[in-house]
Amino acid sequence: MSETSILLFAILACTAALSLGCGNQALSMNAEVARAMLEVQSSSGPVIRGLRVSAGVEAGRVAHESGATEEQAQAFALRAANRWNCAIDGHRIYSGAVGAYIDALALWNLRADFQLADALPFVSRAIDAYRFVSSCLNELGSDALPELPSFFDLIPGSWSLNLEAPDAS
Amino acid sequence: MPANDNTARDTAANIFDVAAQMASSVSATLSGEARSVLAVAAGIASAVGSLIRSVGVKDASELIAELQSRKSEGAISDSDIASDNESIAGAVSGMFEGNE
Repeated sequence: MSETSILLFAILACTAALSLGCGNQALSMNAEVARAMLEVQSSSGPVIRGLRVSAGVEAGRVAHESGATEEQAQAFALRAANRWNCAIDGHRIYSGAVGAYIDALALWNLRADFQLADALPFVSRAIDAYRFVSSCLNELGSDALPELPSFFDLIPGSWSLNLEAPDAS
Repeated sequence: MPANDNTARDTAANIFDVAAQMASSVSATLSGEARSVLAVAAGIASAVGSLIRSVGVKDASELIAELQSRKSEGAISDSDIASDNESIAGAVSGMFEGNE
């Protein structure tokens, strides 16, 4: 199953959870959504690292064949590898979002007060992070994480996590 | 699990099954990209139907505990990056072996 299919599947599962209302079943559905997101995290991490290493080694090879010194080739290779930092940082943000979603599910499970509306901002945040990584990879010429279909835009931005302090007034 | 929970789950699963069948039937009458998109949608709807039926087989607490234990899978740490940088440096050094 491709990464897009997993996320597509996750969002549709979330819709299904909505149709089931709240309570333990909706919580289980959301756990399935989180599991799909975790699969994307665990499968894409090594892929992104591998792409970064390959880019670095390839740049070093080009420098070597162009007659550069070893020091110059090492610097060239490291610079090429660091072009992938956007994807690395994005993946970390994505992992953080998935981890926060899982932690929130654990808390709701303990408190037995799960409401689907509370979970949607966490889903939305993970999707935003996925898009960020996907965009970085695309700019670097990799389609390891395909762009999400446009209908994912149907998730309103207002569902995103609002991390600002509440208005005191 | 209460009977009405099972009924609600079956109803929701049936809705996705019917949607999958409809999408599959309609896609057969289309061509090109539209056919592919609808065929994928049918597959996903069918998968969601199966997922809904599977919920309840595994308790939410059990699932969440499993997720918490796997939370760091695939996460990229600073030590991973340091290790990768060493691999790159080693590979580049290897290219120069014999040249000196």
